[in-house]
Amino acid sequence: MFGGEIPKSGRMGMALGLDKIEALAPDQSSLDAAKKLLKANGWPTLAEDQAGLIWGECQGSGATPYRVVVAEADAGYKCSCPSRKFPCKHALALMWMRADGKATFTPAPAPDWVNDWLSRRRGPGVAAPVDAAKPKASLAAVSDEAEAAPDPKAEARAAAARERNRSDREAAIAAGLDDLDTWLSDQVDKGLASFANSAGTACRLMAQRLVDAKASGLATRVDALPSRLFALPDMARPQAAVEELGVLHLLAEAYRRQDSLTADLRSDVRQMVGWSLTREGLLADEAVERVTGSWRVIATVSEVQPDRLRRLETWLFGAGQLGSGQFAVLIDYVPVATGAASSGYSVGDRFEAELAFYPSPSPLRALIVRQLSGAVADGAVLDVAAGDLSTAYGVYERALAARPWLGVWPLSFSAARVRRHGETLYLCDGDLALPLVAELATVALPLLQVAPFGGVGLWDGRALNLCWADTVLGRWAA
Amino acid sequence: MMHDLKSRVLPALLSGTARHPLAGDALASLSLTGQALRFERPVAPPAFAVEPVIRDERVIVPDRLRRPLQRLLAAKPGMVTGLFPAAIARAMHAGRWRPHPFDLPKLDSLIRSHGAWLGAEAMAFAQRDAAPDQQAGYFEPDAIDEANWSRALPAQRQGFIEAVRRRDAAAGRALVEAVWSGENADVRVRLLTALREGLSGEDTVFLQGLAKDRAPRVRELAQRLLARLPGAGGDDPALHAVMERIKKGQTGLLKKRATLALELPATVAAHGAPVWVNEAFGDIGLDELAAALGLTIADMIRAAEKDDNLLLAFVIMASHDKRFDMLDIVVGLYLPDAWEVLARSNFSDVGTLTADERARWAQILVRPQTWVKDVPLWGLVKLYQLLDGPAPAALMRDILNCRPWRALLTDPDKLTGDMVDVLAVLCSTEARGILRAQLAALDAPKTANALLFLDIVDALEVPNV
Repeated sequence: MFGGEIPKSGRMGMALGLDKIEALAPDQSSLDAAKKLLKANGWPTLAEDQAGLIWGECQGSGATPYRVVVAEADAGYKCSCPSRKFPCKHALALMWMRADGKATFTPAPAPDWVNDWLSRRRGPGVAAPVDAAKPKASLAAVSDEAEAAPDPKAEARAAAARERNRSDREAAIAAGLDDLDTWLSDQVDKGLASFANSAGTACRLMAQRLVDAKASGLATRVDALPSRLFALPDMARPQAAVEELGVLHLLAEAYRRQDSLTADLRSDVRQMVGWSLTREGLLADEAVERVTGSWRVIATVSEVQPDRLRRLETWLFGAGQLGSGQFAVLIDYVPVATGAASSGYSVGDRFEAELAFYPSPSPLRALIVRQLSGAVADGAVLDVAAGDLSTAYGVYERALAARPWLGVWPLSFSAARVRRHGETLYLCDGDLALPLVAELATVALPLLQVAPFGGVGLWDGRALNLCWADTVLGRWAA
Repeated sequence: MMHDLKSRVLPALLSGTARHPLAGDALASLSLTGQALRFERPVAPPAFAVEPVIRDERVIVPDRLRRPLQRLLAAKPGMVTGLFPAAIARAMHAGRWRPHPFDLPKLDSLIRSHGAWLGAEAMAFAQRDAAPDQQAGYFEPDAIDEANWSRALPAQRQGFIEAVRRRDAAAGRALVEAVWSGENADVRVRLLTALREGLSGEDTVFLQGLAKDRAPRVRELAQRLLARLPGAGGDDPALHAVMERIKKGQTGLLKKRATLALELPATVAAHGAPVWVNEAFGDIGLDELAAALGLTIADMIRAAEKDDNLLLAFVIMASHDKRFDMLDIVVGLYLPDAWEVLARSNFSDVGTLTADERARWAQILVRPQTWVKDVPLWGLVKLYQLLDGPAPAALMRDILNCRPWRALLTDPDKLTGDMVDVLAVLCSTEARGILRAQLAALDAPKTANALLFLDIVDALEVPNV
């Protein structure tokens, strides 16, 4: 009755026709883009409930596949991509494949994410009304782009321009790092005890300088510093200021000495300062670590950055043929204005995929090279390492030693329990007691009544974001 | 080295190297000190709280119900969707189910409003922010007895006393008297309200003793109860007030019979009359008014046949007095739309009616076969609130067969989700099949919540083992 079955009503599927798709498309370029997505192997999941709902997962340019659902009766749809076009190319492509009849939609009960969307729909579908005044998009006008033949001279000019730009940027960054050191020296001169009180203006100006210096990664870090400090209790802010500003100088020095660093560390520090490693660049690097296996989604985190981008993190745990298990995090950035607030994956989802890890002495960030199966909800217990919390913390310390600017690190543990001191909850095992983040103060309360359990949390150096617990009462997720 | 960092370098960094210079590169000291601090393990607190052990005998809802419950109860609260939490709590209570402990934070509004009906752990969660002296113990209804009743929630205490009063009025009063002086005003009002059940002359002495109670509303309620007792000498200001507004006349040529007409205050407009009537007549008994008018109850009703406001007053009084025979006469012969009018009167007190009595009362009052144009949405919402549960099966079948509802089924554009939702919460177990069949042909957005609710309650009614 539940777990995918949708209340049956008169929602019989009405076939989506190609003319309907043409009418829905916001413009010609949307249809052109949708056509490129019509290959079934780009859709690890294509399914239907045989009562008018179709859905799929589409591997896009982001780290995580996009989830799309369409109600055939009224062409209502939802996609997890951040596109500002409605319907987006993924929704159009899904409808197109359905209308074409060439792709196979596997009959299946609707997963929770589809049911959640259905339950939020009230009233007519969300399909955009047809605008008679706008130029009509036409399937007939969709072009098949053939790759142009390479032009050696143009490529040489482009390569030279890229090298010039790179060189200019390195010079700009070097100057920016010098300014950063000057700024840090000023703060240290004045004393960091009350840095947090005046951090807002000071950090904003320094962040802007770093943006101008094309060191966007450092700029974001500096810009976020005031809010990170103010999230802490008063008493903790001075020491936190020492740690945070210390890391900034560490990054600057590491960048200056990058030629003497290992390849992994060098790549890592360049990314931290702001050099992007594109998907294509990462996949072209044969030295990049690739891991194929079965991955469980253990947490999803969404955070708005000062630059108005939303950072979407999907944390994965891989087991099985990977031996003791490995963590990975997929990171996407979407503009806040798009309204997209999640990656589309749900905690507990399992899928088979090949991941490529960004180079780092403590590899964690990855992207999906190819997804080998659709994501399915999995209620199985997480097969984490049998070590206790202290052992897991030791792994964190080794990772921190290898990557001194380490941010959030996953801790997997067995047989820990939640206890309370005042208003704060702690995850405890032996002598180690890690405070939980304040946001879990209510949702983790039921764990006070539960016997010791295994699970996973994300440790940021000060507080633990407990995200998964396998208990005698079943799985707890934040 | 760590000692040096913390005793010399860190203080200098905090207070400023302008005042406390450091040897060597200050920024290098900054980075090294910062990193050293990051390697310090967190210090555990000196002690942890000892959590109370909560024993909850109820069975946790099956896993397959958890997500649907969250989905249903996450719906934006509206006039009707606000009924879902109460209906779900009722069904869980009846089946002795409890929410999964991990879902308590996600069902916070349900837990805070209805935690007392959802098991010990839910109740503890609902009271987590309350001061220790304001926290009540949790009791299953059949676990409350004369030894522990005074530790239950106020609503449960009232219900317990009412139940005792039905069996043995004197024993019920004795229990109340034993705890009276130690209770706050809210509880005293509830316990006094419970004494309406089985009210008799034997309660006179206790009620007279409340003339000096420190709470005005306790004193007023005691006086109203006294006024209903024959020979108690109670002065009933409410009765005096309405008697001044009831005009008694005569009609008939050969055989004279009485007529009654109610004069509304000048400040009460016609549309506000039901509310005024409820306030004016709500504390008066049928017998009491009939005696004051010098008529039998039946004659009094007949005399008011042309005055809808007075007939409404009789409906209200007959409901409080459990005079279903008289209620049937008023509604059946003179005021067929009594329910719709009552729903507009702010009537909210079904007194001490048991669940069976409420069902009988609703069966008399609500007459779907008389509905011509519309299904009274607000009236149905009110019906659920007053019944505190589904409608009786026969009444529900009548509602689902009434003309305006069947018309809506054939013209679904005029049908609202609210209408479907209220019928779902009102629907008795026996009538669910009829409602499901009727909803099957409608659009999913309008029926999704209702069908989800029906699925959930169906599952909750399966005996848990």
